[in-house]
Amino acid sequence: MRIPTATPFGMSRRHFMGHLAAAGAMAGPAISFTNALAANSEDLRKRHKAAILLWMGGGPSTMDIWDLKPGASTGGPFQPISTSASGVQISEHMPMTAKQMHHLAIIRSMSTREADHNRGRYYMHTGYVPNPQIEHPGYGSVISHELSSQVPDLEIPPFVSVGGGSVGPGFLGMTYAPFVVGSNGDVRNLNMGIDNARLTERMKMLSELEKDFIAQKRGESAAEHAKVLEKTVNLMTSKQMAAFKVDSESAATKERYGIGGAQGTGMMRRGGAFGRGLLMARRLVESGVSFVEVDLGGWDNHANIHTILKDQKLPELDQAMSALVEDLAQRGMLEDTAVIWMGEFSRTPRINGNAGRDHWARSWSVVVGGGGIKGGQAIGATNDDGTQVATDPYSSEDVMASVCKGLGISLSTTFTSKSGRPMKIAAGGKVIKELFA
Amino acid sequence: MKRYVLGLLVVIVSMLCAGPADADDVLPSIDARFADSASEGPYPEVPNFQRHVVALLGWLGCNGRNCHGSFQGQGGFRLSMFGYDFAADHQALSGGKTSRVDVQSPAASLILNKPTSDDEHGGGKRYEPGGWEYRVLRSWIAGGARDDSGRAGNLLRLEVTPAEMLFSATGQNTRMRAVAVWSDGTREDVTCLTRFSSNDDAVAEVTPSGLVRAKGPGDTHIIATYDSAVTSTPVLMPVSDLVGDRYPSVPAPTKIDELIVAKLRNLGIVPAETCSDTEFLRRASLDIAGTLPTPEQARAFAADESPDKRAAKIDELLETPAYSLWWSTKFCDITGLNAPLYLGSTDFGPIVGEQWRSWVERKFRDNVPYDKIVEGMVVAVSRPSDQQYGDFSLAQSAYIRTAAPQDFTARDTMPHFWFRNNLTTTDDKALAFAYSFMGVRLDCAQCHKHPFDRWSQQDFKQFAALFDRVRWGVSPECKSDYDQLREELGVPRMKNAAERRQSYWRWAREGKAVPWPEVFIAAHSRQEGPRPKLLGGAEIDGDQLDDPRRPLMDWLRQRENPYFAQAWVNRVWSHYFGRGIVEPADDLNLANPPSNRELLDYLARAFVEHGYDMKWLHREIAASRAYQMSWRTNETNRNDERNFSHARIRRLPAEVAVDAMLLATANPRRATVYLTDVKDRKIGVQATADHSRTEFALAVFGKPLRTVNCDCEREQEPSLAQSLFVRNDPDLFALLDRRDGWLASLSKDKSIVDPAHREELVREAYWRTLGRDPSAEEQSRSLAHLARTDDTLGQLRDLLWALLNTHEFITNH
Repeated sequence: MRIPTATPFGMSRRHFMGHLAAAGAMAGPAISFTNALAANSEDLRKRHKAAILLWMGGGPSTMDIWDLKPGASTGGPFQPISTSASGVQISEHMPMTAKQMHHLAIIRSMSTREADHNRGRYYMHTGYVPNPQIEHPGYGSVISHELSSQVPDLEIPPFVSVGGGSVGPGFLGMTYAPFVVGSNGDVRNLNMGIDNARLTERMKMLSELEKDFIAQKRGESAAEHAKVLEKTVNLMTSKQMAAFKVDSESAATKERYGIGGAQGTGMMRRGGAFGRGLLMARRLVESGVSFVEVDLGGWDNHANIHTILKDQKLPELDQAMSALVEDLAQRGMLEDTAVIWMGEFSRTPRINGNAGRDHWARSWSVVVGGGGIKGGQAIGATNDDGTQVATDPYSSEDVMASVCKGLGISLSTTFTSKSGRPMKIAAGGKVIKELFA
Repeated sequence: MKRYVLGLLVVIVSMLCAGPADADDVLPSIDARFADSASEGPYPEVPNFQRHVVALLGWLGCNGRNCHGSFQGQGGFRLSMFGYDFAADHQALSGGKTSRVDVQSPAASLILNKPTSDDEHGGGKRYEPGGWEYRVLRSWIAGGARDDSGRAGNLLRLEVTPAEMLFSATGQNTRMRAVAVWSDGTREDVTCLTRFSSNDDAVAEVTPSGLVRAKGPGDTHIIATYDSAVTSTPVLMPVSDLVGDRYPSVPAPTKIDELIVAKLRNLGIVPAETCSDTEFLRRASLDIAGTLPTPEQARAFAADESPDKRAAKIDELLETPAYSLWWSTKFCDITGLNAPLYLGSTDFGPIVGEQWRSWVERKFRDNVPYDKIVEGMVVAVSRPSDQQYGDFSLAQSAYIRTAAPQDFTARDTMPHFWFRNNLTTTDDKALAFAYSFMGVRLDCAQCHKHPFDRWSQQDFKQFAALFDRVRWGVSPECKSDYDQLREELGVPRMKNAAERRQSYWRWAREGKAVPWPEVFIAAHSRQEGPRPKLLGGAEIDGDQLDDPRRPLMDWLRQRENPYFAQAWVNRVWSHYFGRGIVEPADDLNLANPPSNRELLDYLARAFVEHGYDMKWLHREIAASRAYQMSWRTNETNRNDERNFSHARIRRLPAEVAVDAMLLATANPRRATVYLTDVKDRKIGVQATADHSRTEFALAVFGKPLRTVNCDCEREQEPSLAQSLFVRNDPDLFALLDRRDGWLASLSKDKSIVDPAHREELVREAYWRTLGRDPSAEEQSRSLAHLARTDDTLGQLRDLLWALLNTHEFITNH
């Protein structure tokens, strides 16, 4: 079993202080399980900035999705189709997303150097290559670090990773670690199998048992423990946890995201987990979460790539991704919510002996949209057979710098690592100008 | 005219420098020497580029990381970060098209005009036009703007006075003075060129000119930096009036306690009381053996009336398999053992990883001296020079073969550290080596002068050159044998890496030779590079030696080596106290001095004198009263975080925490063997490739992946995910409800509804989790909960759940 994990997430002092004033649930021995939220904070949450990363683990072949080369020896069998963005064509197996392309921008001249899964994953998530001297924070941790203060009454963690695969918080500390939930949307230890009465009784007993030990003044450690305990209770009982409950959405919405119901066959079934993750992402962002990463694996297609893409991966991606973009746009959230589609690298233009494509980082595509980014365009280009970028190359850092700019995060932000080394946000990447033209 | 002035200056300077260098014969500081000259001169001397000009630019902040020290420079002008690359800095100042100095008309020089103007300088105004800084720089330019850094000789030391500062009230102040002592005999007051900083502004602050002011009670250090030198000066202000004659009589039964109390006495801090027997047992058992004591052990220890029972318990714990397992895990953390990530290129990742782990465990179990273990890893090659490649391959398979395998752990050496494929470059080898075995972080010096230590980039390059000949793969002399073996086995015709790997494994299990890679010493350095040099030690003629790591190891072992014994002693200390004498424990540098130098010196020296006997070290520390103090504080030691005046509450390390949950919920029969039957213990679990593959609970509690050269990779912060885990995770509930669990063993027991038995059960639950009896109040509260429904077992389950959720359970205290 692949356990959703991993990097646990800590507690922000700032958030805690906010809670203390608002809730005070732990002040008395009886724990209140209703957590009234001020009405005005709902508005605040709706207007906050956020980002959703669609992470394509394994390295998707962008030549078969976003930058087709029909007729080239490397082109493969797929044909391009026109989209809602004039002059921008994408794969025929992405018809629903084609209708949303006026919201999205394809960066076709990505050129990176890491073609190993682990290194590529790290680099595309952080802007740095792995270095045994330092743990760099992933973009999710960085963005939630910068944005989460916008929603002071957020009780759920500001960085949620659906399906795992995220990079940890590095030197930013556990507060900004991804809170990992299963790809089926299960929050591993929040599905309380016990009734509230029993839980109340237990928590009451616990707080009584703790009294003596906590009451002694023993410095930071005990205080931290007490705070985390409060945060836990808040989370376990928070109304905001409803954001994880995708099933409360209407049947039509679920169908649009490809979440299978009773009829769960064909595309419904295929789109299930990823669509569920993206729908959850939208709900989490609505609740005030700053960064959601949703993992869709299965792109490491060393063999039979086109069959797999056509029959499995692209229908699944197309259904859910188009639904998210459309949904965000209809709700007026797209303006404040950046959407990023990328994997750790792409795949070789050359089709190998097993009808697959191998690892390739030299020339490939990433898709971004929303969050202040100008959609409806393709930026940069590769050469005729896709083996090289034909225009200025862009990097992970540049994509991140652009997303930050769109979200209003200052690019002069500098962090300090544990060893005292200054680290620029987005690793000093340059904004891709066309995205804001 | 210029030449004339220069000549005159040389005379003056040499007059000033002449004669034996006694304490009074100190050249006044350069701000005083230039105090009376006019802006345009004439000047009393031409300043020296190294001693004055670069030092001044550093003092002014010009070569800082946000200014011209940045790798991109600023405004087209780049200096070496924190100085010390004199040639580059001289070139930046005087070379190229946009020279910053104008020797013909000095007053027109950019370095005189820009930094004296708020408008024209991005970094703002740094000094006054016409001030001493201006005159020093201008005089150097007028003197030809030469790089005469070579002529400065070496800086032997920086003498900073006073040697320590004792304040008695906030607001008191003292002026510091720094004198540079050069190898040519010059002694110069360089206070005005020295950068001062305080390690804790809440205790003392210091101005750029070296005026130290007491801010609050406690102790810290003032760091002084000039040229390559970094010094630290202790500052102390007592936290109470219990100093001198008023300091109470405090027991100090061991040398460690004497040294700690000596410092506490100056601070007016009274150490905590001694902890109780039950507290001691739980603490020592968790620290030494990573294992919670069972209720039986705890009760037996409490009942034992022999006076030396604590010492006896320490000895007993050090002899358990749990001790060697847990400490070998700690050692493997530090040396970066991660088989799936870094040993795959051997084709035998898991096997190599397990050989490494079990070799270390065996050495810890046999209490092999620490220096021998390190030597066995550091100065190791895979194949003795007299062994043919074919015999070597067979010998490797002999460790793996199913039938009567050779015992790898019996070897004296274990070369696998060098197989780590995140150590492919010489720089990476040097950085990892310094971190693992010296407790030193050299990554700053990889690119520029170390801001917290005396190392320059050149020092780092020369140190790294020691590792240049250490390689892994196939040595040239074995290449043909290796190729031939691969040919015979049909390897080149195999489909892919997976087939090759599977075949290797199968053949190796059968005892057949397979083409193993090896760790070897290349005949020559890769290229013309810097000459290998020990850090702060001698140059080595690397290519003349069989193995350049041999002098490295000898150097580590030298009595005066400031790192080797210290690093280990400090890490062990940090394990027991939750804080190193140097903190962070893996960051020994001049600007991060020990909180108690005498203590660290004593332990390191005695550790060496005891032949690097690790169990001696554990015993020495665990037997001290300092280790056996209570966490309950008094008025004087409440805020003390660095002088070991009371026990610190420490979150249990991930593996220990999960084992403790297992043990606390296990049935009595299962629980008794945890110290001895360590097969399934979490304290021995290997690192995985990423956290999603680590057992959930271990990942949540911060088990490190060992990917980073930092002890901080082991996460000790409390977190929401941990809290959620203990409160609500299915795995935790499964522990409570498991078939070989304590609750299950009671499920058939009708007598649990009997009130007398219930009292027993509550006490048992407390002993299992917290290692003590419940207080009267805790007992009555718990009994009330048990009586609340008819489902006694269910209520007991609640109680056990609550106890596992207490802060007292999840911490060592």
